[in-house]
Amino acid sequence: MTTNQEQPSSLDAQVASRLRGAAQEAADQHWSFSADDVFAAVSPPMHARHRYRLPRSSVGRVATTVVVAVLIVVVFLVPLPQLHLFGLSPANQPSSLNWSATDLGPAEFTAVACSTPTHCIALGPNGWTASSDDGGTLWTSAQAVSLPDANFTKAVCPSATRCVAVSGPIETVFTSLPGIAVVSSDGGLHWARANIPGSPAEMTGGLTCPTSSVCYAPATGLGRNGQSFLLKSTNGGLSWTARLAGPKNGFRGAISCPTARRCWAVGGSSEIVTTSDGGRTWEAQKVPMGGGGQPGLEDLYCPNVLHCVAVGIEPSPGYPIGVVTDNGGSSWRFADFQYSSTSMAQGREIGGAVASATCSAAGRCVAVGTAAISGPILEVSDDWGNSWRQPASPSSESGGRLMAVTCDAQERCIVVGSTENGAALIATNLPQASWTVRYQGVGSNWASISCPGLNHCVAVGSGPLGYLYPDGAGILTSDDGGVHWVRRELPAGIVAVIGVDCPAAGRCFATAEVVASSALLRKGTPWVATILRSDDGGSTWHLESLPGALLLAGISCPSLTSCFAAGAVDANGVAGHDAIVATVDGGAHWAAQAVPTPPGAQGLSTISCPSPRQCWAVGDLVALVTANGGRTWRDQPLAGVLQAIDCPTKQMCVVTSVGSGTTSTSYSPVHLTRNGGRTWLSPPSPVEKAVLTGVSCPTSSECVAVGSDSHGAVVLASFDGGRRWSVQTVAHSVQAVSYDTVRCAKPRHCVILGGGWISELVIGE
Amino acid sequence: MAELVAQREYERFFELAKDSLMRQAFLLTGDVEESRDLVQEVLLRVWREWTRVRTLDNPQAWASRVLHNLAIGRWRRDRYRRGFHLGVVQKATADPGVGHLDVVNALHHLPAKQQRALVLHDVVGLTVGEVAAELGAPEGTVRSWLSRGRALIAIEIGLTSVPTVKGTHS
Repeated sequence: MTTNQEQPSSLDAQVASRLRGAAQEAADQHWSFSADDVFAAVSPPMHARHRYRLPRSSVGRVATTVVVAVLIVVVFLVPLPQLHLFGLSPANQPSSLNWSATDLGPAEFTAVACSTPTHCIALGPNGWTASSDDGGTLWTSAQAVSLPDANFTKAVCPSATRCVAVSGPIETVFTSLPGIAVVSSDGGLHWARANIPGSPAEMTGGLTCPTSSVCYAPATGLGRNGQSFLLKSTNGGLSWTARLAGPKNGFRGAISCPTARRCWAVGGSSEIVTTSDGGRTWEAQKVPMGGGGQPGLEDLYCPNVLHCVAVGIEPSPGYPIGVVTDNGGSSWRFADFQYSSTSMAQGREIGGAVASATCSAAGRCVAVGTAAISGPILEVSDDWGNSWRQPASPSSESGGRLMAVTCDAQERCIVVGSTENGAALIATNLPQASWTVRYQGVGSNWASISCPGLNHCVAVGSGPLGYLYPDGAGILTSDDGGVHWVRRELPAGIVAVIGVDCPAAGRCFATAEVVASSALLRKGTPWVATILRSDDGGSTWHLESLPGALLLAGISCPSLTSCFAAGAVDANGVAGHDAIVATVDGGAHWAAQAVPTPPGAQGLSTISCPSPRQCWAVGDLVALVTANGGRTWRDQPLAGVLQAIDCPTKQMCVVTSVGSGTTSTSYSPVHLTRNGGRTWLSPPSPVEKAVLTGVSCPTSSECVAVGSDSHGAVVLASFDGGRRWSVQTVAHSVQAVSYDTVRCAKPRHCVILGGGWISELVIGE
Repeated sequence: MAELVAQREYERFFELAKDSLMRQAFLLTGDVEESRDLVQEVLLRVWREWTRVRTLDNPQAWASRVLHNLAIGRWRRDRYRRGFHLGVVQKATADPGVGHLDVVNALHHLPAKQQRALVLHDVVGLTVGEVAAELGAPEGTVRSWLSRGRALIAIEIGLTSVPTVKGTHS
């Protein structure tokens, strides 16, 4: 470790020492977080990825000590109908094919604008856009190749076809994105970098277009000591040819010009500055200072030369804050945000910031932002910001964020942001009406998927914090092979949905947890396992009744009437003996089957049944098989931490597990039988120490396994019936630490869950 | 039994890794509370993946990478709310509990890769070769980042008024 250690000079050593000292001082501050807190939050150890991990007695403790705990990752694999549509020939099959990925929705939208009363656009990271042609009711999202990944902070459409957006620069240890300006001349369909002639410069995040041709945007020269200046465009943002000297302290970012000559902007020290000559000279205005010092102003909007609203954060203790003027800036006063005067004052909130504000010509102002605990901040004023009220937030989830807002002359407003589970959110509002969610992406936390038809898929999952915040439990359906998804209603009381299988396009079963009866609650059992059934392809669901207290994870339904669910006996909230329940009458009755529990086993996590008589079930240190519909189950000679299984035929099964090497040993992450379990092979793995948590074999020759290795998410594929596996390179716009599960509805066409996304993967020709 | 063994193993890892992760997180975020959030989440994830992580050659390196990945996502999500112009610098100066803020602020003024190279080498203790592998850069480049980064920090915090970047003139 020290042989190649850089030998610093004395000065270098001092710097290194200072760095270590600063870091150590932070580490030395008292912090009572301990390993026991971890065990309380995520327990027992994660030998298998199934859902019985949270000791129920620990819920209260976790709720107060764990800020972010993604607790539930369920891997659940089920058999598919046999689809031999165009099976690949192993002899001619290259070891690695081209894959393309489609991320099904952005994590959030951060800028919004309307070019006409009906056409609106929203922009987000990674090139994501959404557009509406009906004034914001219906939205369609897409990933625009021409739109670079940027930190878009403001979008403006100065004319019916022209839209401009700017980003602020990001330069951190983790990522680096420039501050750019992009422009579209077709209403936001295609984008191009705006032309900024002269020495290199980057935008600082503000943008305003007081006319259809004149736009202003603060910028800085590139380099360590770049000068701050104001860029001016006279062709609606296509090119930025004029550079005007900025105010003394430069620009912080936000700017708003009600006319081509009169502007207000936030200066580099977060002061408000104004110009009356189109940016040639600037004058600072006096802004009230709170207890925490100069407000950190993030956005500013001036609908006319008298009224302005500026919003942001008070640096200490981090309150959301706003200042308003109704006399052209002669005097500014604090906006009386209801949020600040209620939640903060009552100690229910620890901080937040207002990110965006706008006002209509009639004096209706809307400010949006994000609070640390309660999520969305939404404040509305009908009198130019003199008084504010809090309408019901469009985001029902506690952790959502509202990032930007725009309102038209009819006072119809659109806000964009994201929900707690990382799904994009767009909501609209008409005067005196409640806010309505118009677009919501799929977000993350989807754990299991079944595709009973070539295009019909059902995905299930739980909230980002698992049982602690059960509102996140959900079911999605797709009728286009996983490209677009619709969220479905759940029966009352469902707190988690764990696994799903659809034996036909119309019928689906899912394992779930439901709030326990009051009698069980008194005994300390808040939730009990249940089975959900749908007879309309996943659109509506109802509860089945189950025998005993169980913890269920995987489910497999080889026919319309036959279904098996695997898990463990509920032993006071943790997994006890292995358990399997089955129905042979389409769910009318469910019965527990007698299954062995090998030493060390901690419950079954997944099950795969290629026929009503033949099933395999696997879990930690356990693999079971039945050939008589579950009357008897016997052990299979498979060791290790088994994660997933898929059996495309009665003779062939692929089991994935925690691997530790690349050789053909019992620690290979893949195990294969092609003779109904009489013998098992462990093919060599192309990656070291992989954990493969999902596998899907659309045919007996093609299998796809997903999971992670020490470098992050990994996809393996075999095109010779599981004997040889190769790493598949997937172009993915979002960095994924791991993939959780995969389902291939047909050869070369898969849907992957994981990394916070549902992704459609297509193997190239 | 297996569970108890795993818990004991994890407890050892926890004690070894917690402070190191906290040090990295603080230098990366400049904020004690945010650092704690990150470290908490990393340690939870490590336990959730313990069966796999325990088999790795260097579980702490895995945890460190997760820390950085998490921070990327969190930073991107929060960039507007926090305001990138003030960003970590202002947050650091506003934190009353931690001294040495000058050096943290100076660190955050460096280009991203110089920052990360300095944290990994001077705080985490990785060798130049390990930092190069982690950052996907040649060792010579990493040495240059370390040298220039330290020199710029030294100037900014007043240890020297003369740039001492190797191979350059003042």
